[in-house]
Amino acid sequence: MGSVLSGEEISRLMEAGCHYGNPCFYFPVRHHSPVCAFFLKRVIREYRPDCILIEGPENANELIPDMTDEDTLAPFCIYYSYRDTKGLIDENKRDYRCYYPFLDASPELVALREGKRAGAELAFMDLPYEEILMAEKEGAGLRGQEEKNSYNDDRYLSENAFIRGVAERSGARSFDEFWERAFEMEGLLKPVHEFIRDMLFYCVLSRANTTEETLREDGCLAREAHMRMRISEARQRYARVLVVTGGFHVAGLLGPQAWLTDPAGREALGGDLFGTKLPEGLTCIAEGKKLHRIDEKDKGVYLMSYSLEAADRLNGYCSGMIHPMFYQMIWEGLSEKGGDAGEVYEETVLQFLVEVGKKVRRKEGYPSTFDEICALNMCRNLALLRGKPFPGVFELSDGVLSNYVKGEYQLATDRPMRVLREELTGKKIGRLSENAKLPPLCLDFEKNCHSYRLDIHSSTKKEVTLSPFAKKRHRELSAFFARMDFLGTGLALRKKGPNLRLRRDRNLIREIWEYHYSPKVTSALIEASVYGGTIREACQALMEKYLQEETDAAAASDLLIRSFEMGLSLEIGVMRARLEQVIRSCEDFFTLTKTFSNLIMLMDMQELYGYPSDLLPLRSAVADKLLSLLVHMSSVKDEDVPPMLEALKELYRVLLEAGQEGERAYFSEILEKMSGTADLNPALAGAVWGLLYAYGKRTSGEVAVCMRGYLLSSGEKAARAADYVRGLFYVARDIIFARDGMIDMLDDFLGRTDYEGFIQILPQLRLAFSFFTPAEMDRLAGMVAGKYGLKRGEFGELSQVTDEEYAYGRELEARIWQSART
Amino acid sequence: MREGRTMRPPVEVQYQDELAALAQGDTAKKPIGWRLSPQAVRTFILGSKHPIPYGNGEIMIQKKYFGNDTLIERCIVTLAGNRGLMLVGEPGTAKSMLSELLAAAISGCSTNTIQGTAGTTEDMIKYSWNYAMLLDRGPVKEALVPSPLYVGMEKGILTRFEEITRTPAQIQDSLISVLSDKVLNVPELGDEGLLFAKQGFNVIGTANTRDKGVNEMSSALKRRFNFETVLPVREVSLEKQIILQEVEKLARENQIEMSVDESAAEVLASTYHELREGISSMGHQIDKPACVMSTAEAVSVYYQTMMSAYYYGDSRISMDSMVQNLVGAVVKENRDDLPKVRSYFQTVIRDKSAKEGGIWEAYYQAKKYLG
Repeated sequence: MGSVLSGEEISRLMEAGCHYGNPCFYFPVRHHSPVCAFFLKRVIREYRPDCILIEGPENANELIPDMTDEDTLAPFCIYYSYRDTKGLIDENKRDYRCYYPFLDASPELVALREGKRAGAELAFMDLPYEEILMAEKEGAGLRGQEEKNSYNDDRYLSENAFIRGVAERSGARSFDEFWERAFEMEGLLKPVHEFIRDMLFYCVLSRANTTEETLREDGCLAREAHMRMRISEARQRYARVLVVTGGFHVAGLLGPQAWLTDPAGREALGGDLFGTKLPEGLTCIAEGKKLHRIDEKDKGVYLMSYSLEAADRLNGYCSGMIHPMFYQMIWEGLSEKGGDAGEVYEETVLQFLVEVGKKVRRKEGYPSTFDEICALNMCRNLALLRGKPFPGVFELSDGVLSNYVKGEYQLATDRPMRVLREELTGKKIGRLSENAKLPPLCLDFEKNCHSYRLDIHSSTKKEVTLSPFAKKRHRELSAFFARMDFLGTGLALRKKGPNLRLRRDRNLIREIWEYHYSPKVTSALIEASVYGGTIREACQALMEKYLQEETDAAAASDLLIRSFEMGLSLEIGVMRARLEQVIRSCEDFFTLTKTFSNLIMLMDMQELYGYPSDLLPLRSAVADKLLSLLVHMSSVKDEDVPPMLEALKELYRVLLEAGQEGERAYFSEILEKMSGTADLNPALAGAVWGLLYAYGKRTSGEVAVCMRGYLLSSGEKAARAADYVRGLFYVARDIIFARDGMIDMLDDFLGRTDYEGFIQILPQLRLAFSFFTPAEMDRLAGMVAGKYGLKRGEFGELSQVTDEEYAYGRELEARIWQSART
Repeated sequence: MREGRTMRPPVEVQYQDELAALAQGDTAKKPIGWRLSPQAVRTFILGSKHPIPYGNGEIMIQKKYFGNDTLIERCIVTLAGNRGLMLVGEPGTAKSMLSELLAAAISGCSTNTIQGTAGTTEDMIKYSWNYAMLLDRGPVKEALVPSPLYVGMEKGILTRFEEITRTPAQIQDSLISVLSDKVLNVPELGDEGLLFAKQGFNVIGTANTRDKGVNEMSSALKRRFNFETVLPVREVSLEKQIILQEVEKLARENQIEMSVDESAAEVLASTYHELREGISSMGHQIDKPACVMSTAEAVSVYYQTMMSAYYYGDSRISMDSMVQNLVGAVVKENRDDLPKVRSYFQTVIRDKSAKEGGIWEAYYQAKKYLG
């Protein structure tokens, strides 16, 4: 651990950085902390800065007017994206993005709002987002692998081993409780300079416990160098500059070498604290000479609405405070009541107790009002016992646990705590002013939501039931949800309804969708905004992009299914041409059979879905291709037989349509050729002969002769006889009724087959007879019964086994087992 | 022959110096009827960081409860309020000990206790009569035999109700009016029959959630209590510390002059912890025995082993003896648990003995007693 500052050194640091008489005032903050926001507001009013510099990537400066617009309501965030197409970060050329959330209680937002009111110049001062990424080591800082990278991650403060030790010794159960007590509560009771002094002391201590190597790897040193440069520039132009930055950086910005190790260094530097030596190798960035030139299309910075849910660190987002709704209410109370801290905290605790009580009571019938009174008393008394000036969120949690949970605390009784957690997080979602620069795609999304009356102003999940085949509007909404899903927004999830991609539930006529808005929706839309100005355009363009990249016909047909669900036309752009290209270049028969099957399904459903594009040319293209490959497919593996049979059957079916005479003749010609092939797979042979019979190219007698050949064969061939029957019945099961001798032949075959052989062919036989409808099976059973001199009704009757017969059977079995063992 | 002493003195006697020291320096506000302030009660249970002045010297307040500190704070605040305190949880999680500590610190008396059983009647909870005197003098106050609840109300002290859920539900419900109105009516005494509770009175109940034969509590009674769920200790090091402290205390009380073997306590703590959690520190998945694998049981196993060593051995803890006692503790509830413990030895303890050697090796070799 580094050396700890003495009180005198902290005083010097205060004098240098946090003094109203200085031309530059450094205000240390913790993100989303109401107490920091509260004192910052006061400092702005008392210090009256000409310029306020705020920690944040400076490429968001253009968004400041929108952020401070009165119609913009928090929570919102700045969304930064960077596409490393030139490999400036590493050879992986990844896409990067991060969020910079702002709540009402965020000191940075308070600085912007108050600064605007005071007429100060406002600017962010950190390196642009992409430069921060370049300054960081792989896996560190914003280059972490998490999906939820947040710019204002305060892990330096909360995850610092030294600070954790302090928290533990103070008797707090966690860092958060320590923070709430020492700063959020006790801080409010102190004069502003004492609060800043405490913050500074605490932040310098946490910095002293962080190694220089970590600071370098996290890009901290590079960022601070850049911020120092911006501060220096501002000082030349403005008389009073206020710097609002994470407390951790204050020591770095003031020049730790000069101040922490050599107080006299200030004199040596001619009083200029801001021109201190820059970390080696970073001079260029700090001087602003060599910021990389980045193509505009590779970087994005937008404002988007955010939710309290996403801002809660307990939900896995690494930024700032836990329980954002609690502190939002504290902030609101402090802003309105002008700082009567005890009253604000007590009232907030009471409001939560009442709200949680009300919600739990609706489901469970308790807690009573007396429980609520007891809970409030407990919160107050716990605060006294713990030496806190007033009850906070931890006392609230203890009060609910003790007074609202009746019985042992377990899954069945934990509703009060679950409700409390939800309430502490809050459901609030921010709103941007109409002037806020948003990609047209986001505007189109909002327009669509308004038109379909979708509630996107709360993060609660909602359910809608649609009848897309009966109502045009429902079909459009279903397509809209499908488009949002395709864009990866996570807005909606189909819980029930036909699933064409998985070929499930195609008989259902209703769809049930669950939807809820989250900041992820807007971030996904911003990312997709390069593809178009409307949701439809973006989906169309993205679909074309995917199709351009796709070389597999089956995968391309999956994309076609998605286009079908989204109602995207093939006539726009190059979709149709690209699909045809992929189909024609495909040489794999089985891939084409899947494509063929998908196309047939889509054509069957086309009318229901009201899909506008003509799919026939695509299906014909696949059929042509299949026919051209079919002639070489006489020898196939057993596992490839089912798709092959299906393809043959579907080909037969579609080629029966008018206008397909030429193809039909070609198909029967190929079948003729295949029937003469010596090593034709037996199942395939059955299907080929069945189809030739269907085309009238073979008589039932000829088919029977062929079948007899298989049935009378010996050895392994005999075992494959059932395969032949299966193939035959798959495509032409009616033949068994057309030709009398067929049943006799099968009966004779089964009569000659020994037990072992029968067991071997049984699965194939079962499959073969599964193609018959129940009525056909009944008719068939009648014919078999007649052959054995039975009437139809008698055949199905089973005589009941008597108790004696059953007992005899059991005894017999037991003896057999016994004799087998001995 | 050594002279017999009280086997298990009550908490207020065991820790009388600590209580006196806390009372001496207690400047914080005390709820009416309390001997110590809430802050001092907390210090008594959770220990002091530094020695505190006592008489002419100083005394360190020992930590007596290892677990969730905030639970203790909630318990203290509950007892200062209008609600009773109900400690619920698995057997052996120190519920009774905690209730004794609270009663001793708050009221200076941990023995004002009703022991709940299937045979507990309403008389035992409220009051009964000295029938000889009743026949002789009629229903006069002198003939009344007060129950611990009656005593608690009369003196303004805490009443402990142990194992409340073993008592039939309708008998438990006789507490409802007392907890609500803080008044007990003795109709036989006529106008003098109303006993109003003095400030300082409250009830601490303990209830088992896992044993056979427990009764459900009525919603009406539940409403009159704040519930605190006491969970088993989740850290091996803490469990070891508890075993060491409790066994040392038992040894002291019974004049067994033998030091406690830390490594043996660690072996036992680790065994109990792993069997209870179903996973070893090395990642083995373990079949959990159905019996109660509580820390209190571990203390008992260690103490039994210690007594064997002291009276019949060489005053050194033997792993053979410890495994034998472990078997006794496990099979007393369910013989089917023995194969699970055997399998635990054959996998986890085998691997630990290979890795660590020493005492783990001896422990592994003692597996022969597992049958």
